[in-house]
Amino acid sequence: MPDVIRVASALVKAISAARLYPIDNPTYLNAKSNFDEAMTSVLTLKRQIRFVVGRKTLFYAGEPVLSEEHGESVATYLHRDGIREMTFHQGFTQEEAADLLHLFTHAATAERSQSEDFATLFWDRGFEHVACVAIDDFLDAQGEEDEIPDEFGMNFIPQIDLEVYELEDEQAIERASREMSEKALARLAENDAELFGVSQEEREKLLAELKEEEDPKRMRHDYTRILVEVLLAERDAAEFERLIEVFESHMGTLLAHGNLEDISWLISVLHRLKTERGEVEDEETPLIDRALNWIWQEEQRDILLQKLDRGDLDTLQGLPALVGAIPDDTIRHLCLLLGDIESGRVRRRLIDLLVERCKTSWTALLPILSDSRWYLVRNIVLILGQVGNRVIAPSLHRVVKHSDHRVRKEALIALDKLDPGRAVSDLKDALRDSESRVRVVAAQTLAKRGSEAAGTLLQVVSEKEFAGRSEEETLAIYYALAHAGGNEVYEFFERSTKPRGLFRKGPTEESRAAACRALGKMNDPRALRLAEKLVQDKTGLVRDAAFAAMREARDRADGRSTSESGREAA
Amino acid sequence: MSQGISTAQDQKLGLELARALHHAIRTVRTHDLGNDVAVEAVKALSDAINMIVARSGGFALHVLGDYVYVGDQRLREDGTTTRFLESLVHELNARGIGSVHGDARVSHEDIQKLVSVMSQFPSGGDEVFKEIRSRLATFESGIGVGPTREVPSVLPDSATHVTKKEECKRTFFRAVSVTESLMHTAHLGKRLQLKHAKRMVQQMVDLMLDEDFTFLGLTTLKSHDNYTYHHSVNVCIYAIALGRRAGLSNLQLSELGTGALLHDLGKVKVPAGIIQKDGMLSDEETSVMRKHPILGAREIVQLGGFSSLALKAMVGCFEHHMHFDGSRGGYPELDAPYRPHVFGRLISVVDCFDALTTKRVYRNQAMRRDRALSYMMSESGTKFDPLLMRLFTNMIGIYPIGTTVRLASGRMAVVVEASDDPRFVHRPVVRPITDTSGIEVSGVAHELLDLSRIGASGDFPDEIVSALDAEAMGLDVSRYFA
Repeated sequence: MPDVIRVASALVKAISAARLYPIDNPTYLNAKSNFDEAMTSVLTLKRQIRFVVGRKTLFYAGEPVLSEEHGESVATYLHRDGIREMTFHQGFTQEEAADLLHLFTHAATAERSQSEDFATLFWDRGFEHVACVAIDDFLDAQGEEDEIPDEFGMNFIPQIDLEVYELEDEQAIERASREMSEKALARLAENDAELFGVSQEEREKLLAELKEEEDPKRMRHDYTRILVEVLLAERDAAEFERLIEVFESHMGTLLAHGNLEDISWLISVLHRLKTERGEVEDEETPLIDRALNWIWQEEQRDILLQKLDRGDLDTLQGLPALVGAIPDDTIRHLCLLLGDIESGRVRRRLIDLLVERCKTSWTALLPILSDSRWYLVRNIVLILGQVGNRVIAPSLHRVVKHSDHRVRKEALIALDKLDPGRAVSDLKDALRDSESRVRVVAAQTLAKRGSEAAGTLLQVVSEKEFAGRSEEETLAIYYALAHAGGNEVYEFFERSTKPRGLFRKGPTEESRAAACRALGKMNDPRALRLAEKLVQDKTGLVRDAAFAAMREARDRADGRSTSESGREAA
Repeated sequence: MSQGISTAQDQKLGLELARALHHAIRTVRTHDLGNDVAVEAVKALSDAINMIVARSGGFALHVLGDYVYVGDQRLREDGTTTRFLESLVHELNARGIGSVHGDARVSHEDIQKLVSVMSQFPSGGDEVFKEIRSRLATFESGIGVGPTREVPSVLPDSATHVTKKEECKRTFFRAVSVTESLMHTAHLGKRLQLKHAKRMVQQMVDLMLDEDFTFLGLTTLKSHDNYTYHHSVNVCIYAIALGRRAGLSNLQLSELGTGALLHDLGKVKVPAGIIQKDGMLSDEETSVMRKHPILGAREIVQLGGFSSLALKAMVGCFEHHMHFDGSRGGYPELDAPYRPHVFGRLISVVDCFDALTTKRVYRNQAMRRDRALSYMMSESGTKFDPLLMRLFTNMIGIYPIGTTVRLASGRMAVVVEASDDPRFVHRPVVRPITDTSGIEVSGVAHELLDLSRIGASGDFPDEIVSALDAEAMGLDVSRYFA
């Protein structure tokens, strides 16, 4: 008896450990090992250990071996699910022990669905060396002593089954069946075993198809498919409401598995139902709207965010479908995600998708331009710029004055893409922005207009304040000037590269070097000649800049990139 | 009491007895026997006992482990009974009493004495038990008590010895009853618990491992009142048998069987006026009738929570009238292409076969089983999956189980088992029911005849020359299986 008590006690501890710890945790492994050891020591002496399950107590040979008064004991748990006996037989393996412990953990979760309980799941596992006797109050309540009623087989069945009902031409059916049976018998007479035989290959093909159908992802998809058909067929308002609840719950399951593709499908079905069928009752519209917005509720949104940030493969694969499926009035929610996604890679991916999605529905993005988060506004400006629709431009003018320079910078670029003509004045204003990077972008953007922008840029560099700008900005603005090109610009560079005169009047050596370096960017033979001359300059800084400029000019002529030449020059 | 409590009425009487006994014991503990409250309690106990004695000639209430039994059957516990049953077990255990029993002689005075003695000895185990028993014996009453018994290592239900065949039959009718309850639950709009269906099917899968021909034979039983439930169980049996031949695992079989058992669930939502109409259905009524697959799927959907079992049940409901090749005529009709699942295709085959072979009010007679099968074979590849059709034919033979046949010898027989060998699908195992002159035989002549087994002479023992219409002959083939 003490050894059986030890088994029962070890079982309880192992179950607790299995519920609390992962299977590689030392506490679980230790508890499992104790259970294996206790079981082995008893089963080497006995053929079997049969526990009778009481409401709170496990009995062995009529004696209580385990009784837990507090909390949910193993006996209570088993008893509640109808298990009345559990017998362990000789040969019980450690694998079976692990499987049994896992079952105790798994059953508790599965039972919530009410489609399974410990008894059904135990049967499913098909244990070889553990057996259970279970009762089911529902089944037992049916009574077990039904006799075969006398009328069986003697009466007409008063119910309609369409298989039979729709067989209108009975004679034709009789003829078809007679012909088929004669044909079959004739072939059988010829020993044609293939007529009804099924080859191993065919059987395996069928089982392989079944295996595919049992893939969890496929099952969730198939469930979704039938769910959609059920919803589409529903005409009763109360039932419709219940189905919408199931819809939302199922979207939760799909989201937990990162299955955005099926969620997208559900969303598009609901959206179509609302917009195309025209049969939706007034009271159904708010329900559909609720379901359409379900994924943007805080809890769901957080799960989606986590999955995206973790780079969950399924979620990322389904992202394009989601972006494509959501209705225009919920695009805003998706855009707001850009403010929370931490992964730069995912953010860029989402931006690319939104650019495509918003080509026709960009107005949904405009309210976000007032968001307090500069990084979100910048991304929206970026998207709007890439959408490329000229009518967006007026909406971006106000963002050019945004308090954050990164937004201002992005807005200038976007405006230049959307409406280059109207962007000029904003760009000119931005040349005097308080932030260096904005000024540089404005200059570079303006320079793309060629010599017509040269005057504006020359005016900026001639201003007194320009002398105080950093080396980097000076060089960047000179580069922009060089891109703009033209006679005035050449003359400016010619002046700017002249050495300081007496009394140290004229440009600094750094400024001369920057102008000299910018010569390499000019597509003008005079600039190259000037650079050649400056290679002899007495200032090393200028000589180096002249050398780099010449090299860049030559490389450009040879079709090499600026960066390559730049690297070599360095 | 020798008779077992087997009906709801007997359960009710048993519970009343237990409740009254508990109440009387508790009341007399605090009130004198002459007190009105105590008199009332004893009278109630007396009435409860008398009701059972009047039916069964005696009564016996046992405590086994944590349960109370009246007769052979355990009293069922639910929210309203658990508390007093637990308390009664506690009261009896405290006195070392394992049973209270009486015979036809039991009188109101006997019952008064029982309650009185028990109130004098509220606890004390075996010693007290002996005292109570000896006092009751002194009175020479028609009532007595027995000692507590150890919890049996085998439950009384499972201890009952029954043959496999009886067990199959019992399981079959239990399944019909369970199906009825499940469908009734759905009809009332209450929450269906798939686990009950699955448990039932698991029992069938276990039994069908050895006895599938017994079960297949039971499908020849057709019910007047419970068509849908019988049909559902038949479809479940055929599906499990066919699935096993296809090589499905036990787990897959239990899910397939659950889907098959519930495939017509949607019919509970079709108005009875349509489903039982004696006459042609209008277009509108046909259209309502055609909704039952989707209504069945809706019932499962509304259980909420995705699970493999729920999906399989949905598939059974949703796809059982779909055509294998997606051709028109199958339903529900969908806008997008839809390939039915393996389970859906399988259930479609067996559902059609069982439906065709059932006699209807709008059809003079049921289609002969061999004719039904031949007809279905002619639709193989369009309505039905050709591979599953072949497997099905292979399983039941081209003279399916339950078919009445005439043999070359002139005898009539009923097909009871198909041949395992696909070469001999036309040579099943039969049970001869007449001699060569057509006179019904009984006894040893009912022994089985395997038409595929070559005898000592090197010939087959007999062969089928034609199938017969059992119904036209007024023959109930089910009695050869029951």
